[in-house]
Amino acid sequence: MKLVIHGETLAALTVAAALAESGNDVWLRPLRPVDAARLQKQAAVEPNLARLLTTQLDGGRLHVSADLKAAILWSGVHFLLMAADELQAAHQVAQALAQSPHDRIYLINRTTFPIGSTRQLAQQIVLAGRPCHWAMEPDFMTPGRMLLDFTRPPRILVGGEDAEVIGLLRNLYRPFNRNRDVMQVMAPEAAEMTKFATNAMLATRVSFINEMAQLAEHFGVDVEQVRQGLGSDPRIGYDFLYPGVGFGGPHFAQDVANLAETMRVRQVPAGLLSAVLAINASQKEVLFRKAWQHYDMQLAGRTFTLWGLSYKPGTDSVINAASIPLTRALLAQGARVRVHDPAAVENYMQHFAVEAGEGQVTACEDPYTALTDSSGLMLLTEWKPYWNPDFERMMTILREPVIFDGRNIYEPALVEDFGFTYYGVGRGRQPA
Amino acid sequence: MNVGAVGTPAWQVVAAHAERLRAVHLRQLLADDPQRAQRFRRTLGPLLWDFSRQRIDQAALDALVALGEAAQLLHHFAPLFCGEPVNVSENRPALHTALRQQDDAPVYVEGEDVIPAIRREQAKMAELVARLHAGQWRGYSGFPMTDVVNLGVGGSDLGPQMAVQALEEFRHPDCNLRLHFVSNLDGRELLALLKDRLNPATTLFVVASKTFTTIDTLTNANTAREWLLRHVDGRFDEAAILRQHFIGISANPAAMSGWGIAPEHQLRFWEWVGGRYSLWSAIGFSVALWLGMDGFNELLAGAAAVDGHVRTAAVAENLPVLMALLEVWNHNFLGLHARAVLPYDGRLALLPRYLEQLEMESLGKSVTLDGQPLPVHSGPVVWGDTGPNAQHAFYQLLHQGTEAVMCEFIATVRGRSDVPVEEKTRALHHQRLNLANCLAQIEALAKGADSKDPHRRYPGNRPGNLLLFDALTPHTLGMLIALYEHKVYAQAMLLGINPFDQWGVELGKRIARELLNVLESADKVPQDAVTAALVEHIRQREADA
Repeated sequence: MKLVIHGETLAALTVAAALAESGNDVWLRPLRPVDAARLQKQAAVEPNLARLLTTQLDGGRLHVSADLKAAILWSGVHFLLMAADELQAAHQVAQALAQSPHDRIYLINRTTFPIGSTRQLAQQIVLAGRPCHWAMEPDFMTPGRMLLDFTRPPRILVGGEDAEVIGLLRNLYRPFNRNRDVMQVMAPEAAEMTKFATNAMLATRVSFINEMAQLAEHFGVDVEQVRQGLGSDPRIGYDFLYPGVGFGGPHFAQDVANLAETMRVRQVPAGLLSAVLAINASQKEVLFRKAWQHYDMQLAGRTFTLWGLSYKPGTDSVINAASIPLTRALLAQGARVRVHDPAAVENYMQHFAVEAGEGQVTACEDPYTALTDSSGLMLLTEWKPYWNPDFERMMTILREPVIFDGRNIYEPALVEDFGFTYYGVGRGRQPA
Repeated sequence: MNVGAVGTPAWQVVAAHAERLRAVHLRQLLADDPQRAQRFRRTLGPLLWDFSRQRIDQAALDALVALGEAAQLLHHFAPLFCGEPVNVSENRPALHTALRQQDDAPVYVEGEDVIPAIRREQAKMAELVARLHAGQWRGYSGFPMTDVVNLGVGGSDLGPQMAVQALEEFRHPDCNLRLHFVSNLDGRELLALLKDRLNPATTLFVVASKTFTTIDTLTNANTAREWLLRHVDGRFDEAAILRQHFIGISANPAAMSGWGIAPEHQLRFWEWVGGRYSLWSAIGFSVALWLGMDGFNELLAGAAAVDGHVRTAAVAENLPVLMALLEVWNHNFLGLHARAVLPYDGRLALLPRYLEQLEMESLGKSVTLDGQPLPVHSGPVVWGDTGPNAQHAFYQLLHQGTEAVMCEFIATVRGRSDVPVEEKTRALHHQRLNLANCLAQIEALAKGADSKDPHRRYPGNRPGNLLLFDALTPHTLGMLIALYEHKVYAQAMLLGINPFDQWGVELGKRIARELLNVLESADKVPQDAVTAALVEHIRQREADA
């Protein structure tokens, strides 16, 4: 099948590569002209994606061009895999599609635009006098494992009212839907809302466990025990119940914020979501508060070390990551910051290139160097190399041996044996 | 020393005009001169002042202008602006004008230029405001502050509170703080706030007191401190708590330090700023917090525009000076002993209270600058309320009472600037209804109306001022307040009194200190027999409870 994928997101690259691999002729259409080399570089953060892109580009089943007019002439099947704030570009595609020379026009939106947007996009074509087969298919791929998620989806939700487009998708996804049929068909707006509701639900779990963590500290309870107990209930499960410095990232956190904003605009009370977001925002500073209290509100002149800057392991993105507000809070008190991250240092430093003065933020190649002169290690991202560091060596480097563990990855008793003062998130040590 | 213009030949000329016009009804004056509206109005930037409903004609106005010139009113503004000790009973300058001066031209107090110190405090204020706006001012638990409570009384309360309320729509987008103002020493305001509405971990107190000994404010500050320490329960160092949760604003740094305000959180002003003239100093901190420093500077710039006007405009064109002359005309020559301040604007609801202090504390004197008894009335009783509400309260007295009152109407052509598109039509309707009421009342009070039924007769002949601004903004509010400040000063110079002291408030304070002692120790008895009887009654009832 000949199909066009509009967008230059990682999701667009993933879907384009995977669909080309399964035999389709795919035109990947970035919103602005980019060379393949840049897309390759972008793809590098996703396992196996860059290699697959190369294979498909070389094999000739995938090609890249930003030429909208030519793409419309080339095929009548169009996917939207854009960023959530690129609705304008989606409307440009719809406008162009209304002039399509093809008898049948298919428009499948996989972008998390506001609820109702897909129908509006399709209507733009219908109002121009062209019948349009359209559907909304929310994207559930998780950064860091996108190719795997796409080719082995636990479920495929299709929001559509048109048998023809549903048939097309069923056929297209046949290679990825073999073990058992995971496709569910629902109303388009229901599919759009399911995407938002999924993220909102997961976000709610994170903020919930963070609120429990606060309570645990109050009662001297280790919230890790509570988490295990909670997760063992099959009605609840273990996922998205990790207390810590909050959730972040370019999609998840943004989607929840957008949903809350939609509710505000539509005057639907968003009591729960507002609380979820407020808790999360505050949680990003939880290690600051622990240091602030530990040092009796005197952070000026001290240095702190941040291990892990990205919003989660396996990405270089610091969008909505705790490292940014935490750094701002420390700098505002006159503290200095030394940081280490396996991938995200460059993106992180961009935030502080202008606003921080000389020597206030220092990026270190080596995690131990980052501990020099430091009054505390703040662990923010649970990258694998941080799980079992050389604690003895750390003791010799740190000026004041305090560990602020924002992901609860260390065993309190163990690090205390080395002589550290340990603060986790919700890790009360004795009944109050 | 200025001895005022009372009894001078020019004063006598004005008196003769008053005699001539005493029996002439405003209705008549308005009918005689169809050009009054054009003749008796002045403009200053976005302000139109209409005084065509004053009981004057051109000859009377000329006589008043001549009085102002003979009294050398403009000449008297020079020592005010230059930092001479115009406050003679306390031997110090009153340099509120320096606080809002837009350039850095030196102003000397005892040989020292005060402008650098003013700029230093403004820079410090800006820094504290920026930290609060950034959400980086932390309470003891590490959370950013959510609430700021201004503890002050009189000038340390009325000005900032009035300005924040008036300029509510100009909130700086980064100001996500709730502002509270607590002044009353009976503790109820504060205790209600502490009990239900404030989180100790995220509440910042601003203790504003020129002397830092004001019992009202310091008592409230001590209550706030106790409340905080009780919640902290020994978890943190007390000095650190005080540092993070209290800002001090005072002319007395030693007293601030003594109380426990950290030096880096002390904002200073100076002996030469009068309490009721202190909005322009660090006392305006809450206003700066609400508007941002740019907005606060706009307020200062508006006042500075009037400063420039009052120093340079001829008497006949000088708004504050003419306002003063007309008030003296009404009060001292026509015998109207009260002035109602009537803003047709809910945003200015606190303006009457602000002016009550500014005008009655400044002009409520009965001796001249050199200590002689003042042979005439000094300042009138000033009070007021928002016009539309007062129409349902004391307007009855204004229209038909035996006590004729000067009425001052304040309005804006445009209403709020932040009305959403879908509400613009309704908002415009409200504003027009508001203006219709304002214009109707001035007209009705001036002209009155006859009736066969004596109960429905309106005598009229009540003089009215209208101050009509294009819009209420930080700039125009600054103008408005400065207009009144300079009106008060011009009036004081005409009468030859000191508008910058307030010895009248001291006696009661002293007796109160003694009586607090009495009430807190059962064996003491007040000297005054009536007070002793009342204390006896209170003790008995306290024991019964």
